[in-house]
Amino acid sequence: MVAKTWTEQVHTSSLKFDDQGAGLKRRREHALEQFMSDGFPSRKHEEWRYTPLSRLAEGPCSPLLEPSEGIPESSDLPIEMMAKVVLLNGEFRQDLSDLSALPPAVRIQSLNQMRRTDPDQLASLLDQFLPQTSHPFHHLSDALLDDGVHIEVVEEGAKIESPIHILHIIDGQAHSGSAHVTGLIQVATGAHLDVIEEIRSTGEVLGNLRWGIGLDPQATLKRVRAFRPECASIFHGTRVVQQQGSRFDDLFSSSGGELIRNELHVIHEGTGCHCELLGAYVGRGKEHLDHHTTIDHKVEDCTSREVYRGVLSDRARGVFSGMIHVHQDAQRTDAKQSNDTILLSDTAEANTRPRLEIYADDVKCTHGATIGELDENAIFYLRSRGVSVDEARKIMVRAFTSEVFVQMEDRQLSDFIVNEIQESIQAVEVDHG
Amino acid sequence: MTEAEELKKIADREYEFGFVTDVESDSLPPGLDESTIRQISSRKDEPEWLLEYRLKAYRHWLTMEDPSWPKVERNAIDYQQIIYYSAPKPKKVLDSLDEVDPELIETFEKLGISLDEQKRLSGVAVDAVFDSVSVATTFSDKLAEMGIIFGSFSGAVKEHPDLVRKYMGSVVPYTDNFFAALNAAVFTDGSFCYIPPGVKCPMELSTYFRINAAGTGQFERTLIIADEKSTVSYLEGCTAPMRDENQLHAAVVELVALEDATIKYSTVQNWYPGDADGVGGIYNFVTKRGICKGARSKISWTQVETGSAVTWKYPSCVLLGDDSVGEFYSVALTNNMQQADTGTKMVHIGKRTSSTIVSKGISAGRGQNTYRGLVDVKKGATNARNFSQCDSMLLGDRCGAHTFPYIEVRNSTAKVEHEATTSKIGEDQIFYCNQRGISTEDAVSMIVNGFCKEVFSELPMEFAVEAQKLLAVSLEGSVG
Repeated sequence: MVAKTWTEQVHTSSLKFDDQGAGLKRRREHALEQFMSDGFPSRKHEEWRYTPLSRLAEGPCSPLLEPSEGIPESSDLPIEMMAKVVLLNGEFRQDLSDLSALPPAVRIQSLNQMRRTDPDQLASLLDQFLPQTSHPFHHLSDALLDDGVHIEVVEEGAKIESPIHILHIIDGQAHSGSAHVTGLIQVATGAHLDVIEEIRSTGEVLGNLRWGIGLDPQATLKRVRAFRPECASIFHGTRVVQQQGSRFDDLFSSSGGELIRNELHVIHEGTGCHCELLGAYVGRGKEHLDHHTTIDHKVEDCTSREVYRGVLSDRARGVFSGMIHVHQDAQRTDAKQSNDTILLSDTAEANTRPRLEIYADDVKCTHGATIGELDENAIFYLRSRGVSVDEARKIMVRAFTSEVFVQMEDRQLSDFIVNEIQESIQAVEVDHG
Repeated sequence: MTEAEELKKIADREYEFGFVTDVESDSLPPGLDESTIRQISSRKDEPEWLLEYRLKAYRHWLTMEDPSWPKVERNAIDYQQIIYYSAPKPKKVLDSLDEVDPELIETFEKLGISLDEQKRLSGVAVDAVFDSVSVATTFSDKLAEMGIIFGSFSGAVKEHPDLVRKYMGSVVPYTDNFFAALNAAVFTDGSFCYIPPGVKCPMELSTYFRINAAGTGQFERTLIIADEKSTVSYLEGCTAPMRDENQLHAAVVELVALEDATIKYSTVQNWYPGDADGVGGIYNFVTKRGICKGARSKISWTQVETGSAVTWKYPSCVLLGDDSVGEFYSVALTNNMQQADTGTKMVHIGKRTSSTIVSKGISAGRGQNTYRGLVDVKKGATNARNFSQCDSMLLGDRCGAHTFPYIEVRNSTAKVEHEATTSKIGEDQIFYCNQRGISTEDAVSMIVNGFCKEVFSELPMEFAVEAQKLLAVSLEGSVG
């Protein structure tokens, strides 16, 4: 059984790590035990109904990757950055990163270093922001915890003007394998931070990236994620805990990647929080793009907006599962969620599950979902004005996805994403149906 | 009277069909094994093939697990404590209504269902099922003139075995789910209806179900076949006495619509919901499914669910024929400790198939109301169309409203839309009504009725009136 070797390999690899503190040791042992007994879930598991992991479990990826020797081509974004953090095959590379312009209000350090110098504090941060769950990829990242990054805005009210660029490079050219990264972001009261996260990869690899985010009262965090893994499987999980009056903006875009699972769990613990979850995805070939979001409205007067739009061509599959959970005390919650998908071919597939679970009565909650094709009338209109069919369809797709970006107030950040998406739209083989 | 008092008054009103009828019944002892099934089968004098079918279903059921995925909390059911067969005595072939036990007639009179054909003005043919056995069918002669077969399921097994054998289990096979398997093994009676080609059924057909005996489960089976170009409208109603045990109702309903046929199936479900603390009440675990087999056929489900401690059902449509149409209109109300996990499945297989889902959930007291639905557009379903709307209304801050739609699309020409909203009755709405001299109670009832209007307008006239009354009864007093 190949699948068994995965658990065996995880077991052997996990035991190699030597943890200093009791807290870290306990987390690792618990996660390992859980993964050994549960392994990867089958499609009978409700949360994995549309996303098979059998290929991954039986595929050539081993649970770990050797550190990469070569220095890959590093991308430069057309935006001025405060700092750049490069994680190569899961390892925080000081030599490739640039932290020289970092103001004293922000601290960035590698998790590997924290594991050695301050294991107890790391364990307590992990317990606070990434409590252990029954999630298979969380088990993996805890059992194989090696490196990652801790970003902290320590000064209250600090407005960090330009963004921090986090670049994951997963290099599987020599060997296929997996990279596991754990990240922590904390923003102090009233402070503001922008983050751009990018993923690039080569070869057949698995990237397992997991973030724990804590926003103090009135703090704001804007995050933009652009995923362009070539043929990798990416699991990306984020858990955000928001305190009173804080705001979290997330803009996600992806193109490429054999299997992308994007999980977001936002918890509103303080009153008057707002979160905005935006996503656009373009699926081609046999790509599988899976988005799972949960917003826990635990207290009153919080608001949330969620817009995810997908375009699927060829044999691509898109999954959206969005949950809005309004707890009993969360009166006057205002939550809106929508997911729209365009299918460009008959072999593409869209599965959508917009869910509401509501236990408070004075709330405004709506969700909407549509799945359809491009409007033939609009295409006819464009053609009658001399635009070719191909171009007309591309214009339509562009207009459809751009609706997500107009929600993002920050032009600089959204322009960057728009360019990314444009490129993948250009590459879409538009079906002449 | 203030709004809160008004709500309380409404919430406190009791279940009015909770009486027990004292009729002698012929029951099997509680418990389930192969000999129970053989006894049910022999008491009903069934052919060998049906017994075989039951036993196959039973053996399959043994391999299955009691499902736990619905969003409901309930007590475990001890399947060995249920009486699987209970029939009013004396059990003899009834030739006319005069021979029906007067106690039974009186029971149905109390429930507002007249079995007396002479007095009946509205022209609804009724098949009354008491505990597990069909006791009377009205108007069957008149219907027979047009070739319509309407009567008890066990009667049909004897008189029309070919039809029953051909279609029974073709829409809901016994392997379908845990309760469908159980039903296939132990079902006792139910209604059977066949509309011949080209016939438009001249009156509403109706089945009235009543659970009476204690400790029994009711397992009826309904099979409706609408042949080519025929039309039928079918109504189903149900009540049960107040008991502090949870009684199981696990029915199976199968609808088959052939080319150009239309079936309209309406349910007003008012099983005993248990008391305000959640003691007792019916577990209503029903499998209902229709297949639009022929081109241009149509199946429409309308349900008003106000009773039962736990309701768990998904009346579904398999849209196999090209241009076939599926509809689902539902009002589900949960008050006190009631729980409902209900919705529909629309499976689009044929070309240009369309479906409409309108679901209105109302939660009051500590009720939990869940809409769970699937819209599945298969690869070949070119130009399929679906519109779903799920609205929830919360009356009070201790209840819950949940929406879990599943949308799966494998064809690019499909157009699927889903929207859901959650709201409450606003103080401004009540104030507006009060200002115009409308009492709070009337205002609540007007707003709730307006909220459900799209569904009620789908119901046959007299059912719509009953449904509105029921809603007022079940809801009394719940605006927060």
